[in-house]
Amino acid sequence: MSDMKIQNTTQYSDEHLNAFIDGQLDATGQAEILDVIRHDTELSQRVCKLQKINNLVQLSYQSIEVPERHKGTNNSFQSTKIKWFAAASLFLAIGALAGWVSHQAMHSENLADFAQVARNPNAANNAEHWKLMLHVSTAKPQRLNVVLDEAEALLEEYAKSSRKLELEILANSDGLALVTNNGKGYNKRLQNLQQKYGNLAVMVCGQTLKRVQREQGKNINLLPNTNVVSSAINQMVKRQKEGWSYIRI
Amino acid sequence: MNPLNFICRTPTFKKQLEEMRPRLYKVAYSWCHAADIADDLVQDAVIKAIRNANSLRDMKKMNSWLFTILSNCWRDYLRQQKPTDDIDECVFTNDDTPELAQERQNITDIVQQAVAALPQGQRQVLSLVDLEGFSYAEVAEIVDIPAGTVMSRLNRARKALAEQLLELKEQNVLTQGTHIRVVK
Repeated sequence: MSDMKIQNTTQYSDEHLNAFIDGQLDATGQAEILDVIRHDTELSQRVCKLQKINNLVQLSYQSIEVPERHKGTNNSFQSTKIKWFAAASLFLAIGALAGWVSHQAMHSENLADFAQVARNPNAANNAEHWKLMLHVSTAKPQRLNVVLDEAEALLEEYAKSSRKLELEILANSDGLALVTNNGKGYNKRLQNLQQKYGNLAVMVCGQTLKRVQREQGKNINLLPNTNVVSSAINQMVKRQKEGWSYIRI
Repeated sequence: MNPLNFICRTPTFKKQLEEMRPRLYKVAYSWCHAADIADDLVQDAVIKAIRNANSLRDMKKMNSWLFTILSNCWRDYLRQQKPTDDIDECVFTNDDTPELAQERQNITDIVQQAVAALPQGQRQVLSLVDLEGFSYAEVAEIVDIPAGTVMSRLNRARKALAEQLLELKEQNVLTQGTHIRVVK
């Protein structure tokens, strides 16, 4: 076992692990590392370290905004637009004769394609009481549904057992879509889960909320029972210090 | 190129360009850490994008195309500043002092400071991957370096940040709130 552990830990270079957290490996490669991480604390720590850096960088530049400036590009844009129309007319004649249809195949993704795990090595994963944070920062419906699928499966599993689970979903950046009351399917699912399970908490980053409200010039209507935390990064640091496991989806 | 797309894309192009501005600015800022320079870089990139809009063959590649222009603007800027240095290995002057460092309690400032201290080439790759989520292949194309170099620069950048930031975290600097310290 220990030999296998040593092999696992040293088998993967830091470049390889970076590729894992950045989702650059193919589905098999991602799944392989995910599998090893579950049993190898040392490798898990290495991934955790890289993931933390990735998160720190992302969150530290989240509030950077474009300063107000004069719209100096409008005139040049207008002149370019006129040229474009001339070119467009020419193309129209040619284009009218030649139909061109394209479609992009939708590729289904599974969790192994994009789940990024940074398990806190201090967290007692199989203990009687598991505290887990699911972090979402994307508005892609597919990923939002993965968050909910994972949450639902865990909540169901733990509800049936004697073990205790505390689950927290943290949304920031584009992940705000998950907790914004917009009538989407995942909205309803999240509300149902919250009504059904008292051990599910939903948090949203206050910094993201302020930024989006400022950009849109209106208040964002959040789902009921959504808690606003000062910032996502503070919440993550706090939870990790408290021994929570962390999964970014 | 799809001719119908070309005809119809002008408003789409303008809209996307405007929508991309904050993202371009964020990355430009992460490269130079100066609001006015970042603003100028983005403005240059936007103007060049408008002037060279015809060279964009596929609207789906607009993101990486814009960041390539931004990267070229940044390279031009650096060449003007330090014409004889290898810009990829150039470490920006860090005029921080222990006193100033002690005053910085904001996690954002600490991380940004650490990123700013990275060699330019590493910083550029790191921000494109971490802030924009570009694939390694896309970053290689944007910055015009081999994919292997992208991986090694990213690795060195994250390693340097880990040494600096995770050490700080262990010292409890990366936490919220005010700390009272005894100064001997």
